[in-house]
Formats: sequence, C-alpha cells, structure tokens
Amino acid sequence: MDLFANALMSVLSPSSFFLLIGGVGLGIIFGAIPGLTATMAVALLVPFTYSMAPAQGIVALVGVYVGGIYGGSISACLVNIPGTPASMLTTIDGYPMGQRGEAGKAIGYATVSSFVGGIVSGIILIVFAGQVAKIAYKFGPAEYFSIAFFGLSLICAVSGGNLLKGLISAIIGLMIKCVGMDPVTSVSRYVFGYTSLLGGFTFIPVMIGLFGMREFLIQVSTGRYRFQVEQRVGKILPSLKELLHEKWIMLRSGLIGTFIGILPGAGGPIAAFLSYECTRRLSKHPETFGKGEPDGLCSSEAANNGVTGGAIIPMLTLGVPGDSVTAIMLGAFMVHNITPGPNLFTNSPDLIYAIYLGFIIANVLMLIYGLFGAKVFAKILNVPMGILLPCVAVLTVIGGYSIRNSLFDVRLVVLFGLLGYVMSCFDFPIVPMVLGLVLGQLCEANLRSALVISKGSWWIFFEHPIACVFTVLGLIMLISPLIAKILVKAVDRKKNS
Amino acid sequence: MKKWLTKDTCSGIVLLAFSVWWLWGANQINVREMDNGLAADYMPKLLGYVLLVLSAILLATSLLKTYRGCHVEEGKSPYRHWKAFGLLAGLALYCLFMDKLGFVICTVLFLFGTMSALCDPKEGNKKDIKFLAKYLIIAAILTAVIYAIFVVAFKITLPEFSLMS
Repeated sequence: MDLFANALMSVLSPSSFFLLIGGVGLGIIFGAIPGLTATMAVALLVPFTYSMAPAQGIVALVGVYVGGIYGGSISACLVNIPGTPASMLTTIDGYPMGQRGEAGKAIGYATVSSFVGGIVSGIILIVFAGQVAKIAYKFGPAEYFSIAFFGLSLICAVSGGNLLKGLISAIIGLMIKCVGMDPVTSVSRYVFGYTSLLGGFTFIPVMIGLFGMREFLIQVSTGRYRFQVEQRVGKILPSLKELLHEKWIMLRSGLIGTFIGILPGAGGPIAAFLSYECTRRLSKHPETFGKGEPDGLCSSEAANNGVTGGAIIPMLTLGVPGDSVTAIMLGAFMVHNITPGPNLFTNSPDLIYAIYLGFIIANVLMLIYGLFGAKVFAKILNVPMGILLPCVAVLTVIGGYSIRNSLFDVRLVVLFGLLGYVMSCFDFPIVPMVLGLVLGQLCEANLRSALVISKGSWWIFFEHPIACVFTVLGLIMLISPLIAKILVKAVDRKKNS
Repeated sequence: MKKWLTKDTCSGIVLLAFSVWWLWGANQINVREMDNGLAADYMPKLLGYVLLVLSAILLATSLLKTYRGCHVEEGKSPYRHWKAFGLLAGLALYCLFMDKLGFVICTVLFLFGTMSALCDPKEGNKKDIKFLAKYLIIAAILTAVIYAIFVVAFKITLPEFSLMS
C-alpha cells in the first residue's frame, strides 16, 4: 500500500503530472499528423528524459505512446489518411462517417473506444504483469533466446509482406548490435581503430535516425502529405444509447488488442485488422462495413489502443518489446541504467506502480483531450508540412546531441537516417531491424550461454518445455508463408489442369 | 528488352558483397583458445553466413523472375532523391557549422533554408523579399521556442557561438 501511495504521489506531483499532460497532448499531435508517428515522438523525446527522474521520464513517454496511438484516428476520420499505421482500419469507416457530416461523432466514437481499449489493457497489465514476471524468474538462457527468436520471426513474418526482406532487415539489426565490445569476453569487434565505437552504436541516436531522420527524408522526397481538412468537426460525443450499443465490441476488441500487444513484435495494425474482421464476421449487417459503420470504427480503435497496455507487459517482465514504440521505450530504461525484466519488479516496485498509474491516468487524459480538444487537433492538421518537417529535423539533431553532448552521435543520427531511407527505397521493412537491434544483446548472450550449458547442442531449445514452445512457434512463423505459397501454387495448378 | 538491374537484384548484389566483407571482418576478431568454440566471433560468423544465404536467395529469385519475364514492372519511384540528398547536404552543413557558429545562428539559417525550399509553390514567389522575410521571421521564432524549451526548461547544453574563441 505504501508503494502505491508513493507511486501516486510521484505521478501526481505537479512536475510529473504536467509532463504527463504534455506527453499525451504531444503524442496526439504527432499521431494526428500523417507522417509523424507515435514511434517518432517517443524516439525524439527519449533523450530529454535523461534529466528527469526515471519514473517521471518513463511515465511521460507512456503518455506520448497512449496519445500517439489514439491521435492517428483524428486524421483517419478527417482526411482519410491514417496518422499511424495502427489506425489504417479506422479510415475505412471513420472517413465515410465524416463525409456523411458526422466527422465529430466519428472522432467521439474513436475517442471513447480508444479509452475503453486502453483501460481494458491497463487492467490486464496491472493484473498479469506481476504474474508473468514471477514465471520469468524461472527462465534460463534457452527460454530467453527462444522468446527473442519468436519475436524476431513474428515481426519478419508480418511486416511488409516480404518474409525474406524482413529476415534480412532483422539480421542487419543484429549485426549492428555486434559492433563494439563483445558482451561476454570484452573483445572488440568491427571497431577498426575508432575508439568511439568501442561501446557500440549508441541506441538512442540510432533510433532517432531510423524513426526521426528517415521519416523526415521520406516525407521530403515524396512530398505526399499535402492535405487540407475540409470537414467541419461538429458535435463530438455520441449519445449514451449509441455508446452502450458498442460496449461489447469495445471490450472484445480491447481484449484482442491486448493479447496481440503481448506477443513480442506484433503491434497495432495486426490487432486492428483481426478485431475489425472479427466484428465484421459476427455482425448481423456486414454489408454496412466500409460505409461508415460505427461498429467497425470502434473495433479498430479499441484494438489498437488495447495494444498499448499489452505491449508494455513483455517490455517490463522480459525486456522484450511488444512493438516498435516499446522497443524505443526500452532505450529510456537504458538511459537511466535500469534493466527491464523480472528483477525490475523486486528492485524498483515503485517504478512499476508509477507506470501502471501513469498508464491509466494517460488514458483518462486522452479521453479528456479527445472530447474537448478534437477541434483544435483538427486545426493542427492544417499547419503546412513545409514548416513542421524542418522542425522535426532540428529535433532529431538536438535529440542526438543531448545524450552525451557529442556531435559524433549527431552524425550517427544522420547516418542511420540515410540507411533507413535507402532501405525504405528498396522496400526493406525497418521494424525488424529495430527489433534485431533491441534484442541483439539478449539473443547473443543467451544463445552463447545456452550453448555452453548444452555443450554446443542446439537441442537445448527443444528440451526445455517453454523454450520448445517458442522455438517451434518461431519456426512455424518462418515456414508458414513458404508453405502457404506452395499450397496456393498447387491449388492454381489443379485449377488450370 | 529485359531489365536485369531491378531493385531486388541491386540489393541482392550489395548485400552479398556486404556479407562477404562482414565475414572477412569476423575472421579479424581476436579469439582466445579457452573460448570453447563460442568465442566473440561466433555470432558475427553465424549472422554473416545467414545473410550470405539470404542475399543469395534474394538475388537468385530476382534474376529468375526477370529471366522468366514475370517480374512486376517497377513503376515510377515516388521518391525524388535529389530533394532528400539536398536536404541531407544541408543537414551535414548544419552539423558541421554548429560547433563554430552555435545552435541559434545555425538553426535559424537551417530552418529558413529548408522552409523556403519545402514550401508550397502556391504560397508565393520564392524570390519575393516579403515571402523570404516571412520565413526568416518564422525560423527565428521557432528557434527561440526550441531554445526556450530545451535549454531553459530541460537544461540541455547546446553548442554556443565559438568562432571568436
């Protein structure tokens, strides 16, 4: 109880609360503007949490995360462009509602369902994170490696639709993590005499480069986001009867989102898709989906905000991110020399409680922002990208510089921004690379430890039950697209003959 | 005529060369006798071989598709690289001079340059003095806001004007 009271005091202290309010608001702005994502917002803000207390900084980032995922729905409803990939499905029904003159109502539905999804996932986070941490205490190197392997194979299988390129991207991420001192024997690798590289590529500048600078370069070179909000945002809140009609859809979608969020590597777009499909199939009038059906809008939004709480569970309990945003949030823990994992629950329970409380309060703030500030956020969409993008570029430079006051880190931001840009031009997904980077050390250290224990036998990953489950699931993830392709070809051949 | 140098073929060749270079680098890593076969070069070599195989598959499938003529025609790229590289050059200059000219001067110049380059042509004539003055004022105000937030509120140290020293 003392811990809870301490956490409450720390989250509700004026400075922390102000940061949380600012974080949620900033997240909504970044989420709402197409081209600026929640991931980018968190990547840009991580360096600035350095000067804050750990609980203050991490809770502020949780606020950005919650606000950012919700913010995507505003542009989805108003200009038919999802602000974040997670709100892709929201455009299908949100925009037609706007065209019918119900843009405000669409944002209202999105706000309330995002809130319900967020709260459902928050409750599951609070109830289950501690239990998962207790199980994780018993994990050895084989289990940790198999979970990391599963996370990597899952993200390769689902990102960008090209397994081969996803795998290559993940391998490049793992390779980048190999540069510097070997974590086991402290031997230098791929340093080539540059002492600055002995500690490896600093995580935060690399993330800022990949999510901030890359996005800036893509926006500049494509110039595709020139839009104008033409719809009038009228009455926001739907009637109580209308909202109660959606209650089961919101709850079910929140649960689906939370479950998908828990899976390492899976994220909002998959959750929104699964939930939307589930609602459409269960609906008595599926033909109305895609034509401004509130059921579809609510299922997509509740699911993508449900992911937020779910994705925090593996991040806190195992040190394995649930999605790209939590991958970057792991960097915030590193900035404060905190290692997420089961030990965090015994060493820093006050921080855990602060995150729980911060998450719930962030969702309440998101609801307030959405219901009372949607008209303002709609106006922000009209700010010219020609002014916004250079500001983002300056923020990436400051973010890179501020960690160690080093221009070397700024060069890293530019270098990795360029690498990300080139990879995007050649259709390689970025998220597997980020996950490779985040899980690189966990993978290598645990793989080598497990192989030392088993005297070099790879069967160790099938002998331990939990490790076996995740290894087999990971292998299925990698093999299933190939099998599906072969089956489709076989069916085609049969049809032709 | 078949177009052999597709995106996938190019990336396959580059990745193949990179994996060979990576494996060469892995062989340069100091390995001690007591490392039980799981030395510091274990992971780099493992990753190098996996990348070698994957890039070979990427290259082979791409060439095979072109040979069979079933490569999906790559349409006009949505990317205008000259814009991105032009701005990268601007950023490089920004970073280069920030040490000497300081954050404030460099940021005003960078913001002014990029804003006037990125602005919508419909907004006005880029050579018009009023138009340029508008962007110079916006750049100065935004720099002041950024400076106030990060240096004054967050207490972050940013490079200052040091040309005279």
